[in-house]
Amino acid sequence: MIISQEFTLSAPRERVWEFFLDVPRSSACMAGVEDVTQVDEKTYTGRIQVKVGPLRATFGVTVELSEVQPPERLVVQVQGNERATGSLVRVVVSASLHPQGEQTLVRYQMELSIRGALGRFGGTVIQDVARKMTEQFVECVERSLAAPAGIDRRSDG
Amino acid sequence: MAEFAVVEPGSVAEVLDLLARYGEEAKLVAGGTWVTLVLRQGLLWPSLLVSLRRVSELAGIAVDEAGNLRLGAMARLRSVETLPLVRERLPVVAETCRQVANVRVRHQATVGGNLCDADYASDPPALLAALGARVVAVSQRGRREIAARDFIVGHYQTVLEPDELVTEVVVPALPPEVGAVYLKYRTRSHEDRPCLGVAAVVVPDRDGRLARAEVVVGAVAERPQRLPEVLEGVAGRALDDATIAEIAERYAAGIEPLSDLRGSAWYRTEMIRVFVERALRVARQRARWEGGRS
Repeated sequence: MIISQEFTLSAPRERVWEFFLDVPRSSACMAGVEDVTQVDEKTYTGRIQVKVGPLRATFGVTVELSEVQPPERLVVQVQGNERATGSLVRVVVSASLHPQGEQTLVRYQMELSIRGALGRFGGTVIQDVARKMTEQFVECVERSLAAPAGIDRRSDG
Repeated sequence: MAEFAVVEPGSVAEVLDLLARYGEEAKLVAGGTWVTLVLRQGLLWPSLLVSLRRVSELAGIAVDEAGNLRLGAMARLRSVETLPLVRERLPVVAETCRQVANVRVRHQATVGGNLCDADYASDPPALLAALGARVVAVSQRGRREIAARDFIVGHYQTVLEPDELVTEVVVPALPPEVGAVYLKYRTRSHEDRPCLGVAAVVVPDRDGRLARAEVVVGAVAERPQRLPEVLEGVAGRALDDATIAEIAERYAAGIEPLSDLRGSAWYRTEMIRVFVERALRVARQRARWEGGRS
């Protein structure tokens, strides 16, 4: 499944870029994410629990920032392993940031593929859920960027 | 697979007690056609399975004094399909149940289980919504009735609280002049889940015009799709081919379908138009137009 979308954030491009590259902070906008750990400069690991009604699946996730062209273009490869069902989810997100005065237009394309039992049982549902999670993520990013700088939780140093 | 205990209580009171104590840790099993599937896939992790098969008070099918058909939550789809009482009073309900999966599944699957699974690709929910059925849910906190059309809210998600049990589904009697139908469209095998299903109900008035129409499309989105603004707009009109085509067109335009192996979103939009039109034509044919159709 490929989703192509765009949205506008009310923050200048440099701030949006900085936010996306701060993986622990931007991933906090994805519901169900925990234990985000940096492995090397471009790689992070973590877990995400996805709940659909009474059903739940927990993915061990590796995130790789495979293409970084500040402050314009970012490609992120996400690989998720679900042990209980023996399923593999792969997501590739390519995003480009376009300055629009004090705002930023974000265009992204997301390619989602599912292998294993989860794909056979609930591929359609997972795609639908992925689309909703992405919408929520965008809303959360907007909120986070709208919050005055300095009160976010990184400013503890 | 999850490790869990299984209990088989014998009464509604015992079930409610278990639900009050275990909440989300407990999962009810009616016919088990869906729960077994998701358990084996490792998608459901209950610590307790509460089987309803010994709760005989949930299995009844009856018509009450007001003429409502009362389907017990544990009534098997095969019973609903074959029982003369249902076939005489509400043939469209029997007809719809006959189109679910195959006869072996229908012997096992239940009215309540089917609704509570809230699987998008299912037949009965759309019909029950169109007929104005009500779902009765009880807990130790009390009893409430939920309109079938509000019951499913998302993928595998209903409005039920963790301590609630569905005891029955009440389908109001249809006056003899009303025409109702459920059309199921399968794109693969005969026993497949629907690519889409359309439930249509038309209520004629004395002048041969349309007093009210209900159209609910199932299996095209996370929950059955009903477009109130379209239905309100056609009340009082003649139910001619132009009105039917308009309703079909507006349903096709107003629903954002999902894609799956049974049909892409684009294809579903096209088929919504075709099948809403067909369903309304059948419902029109089945209705009794006392004043002659204008």
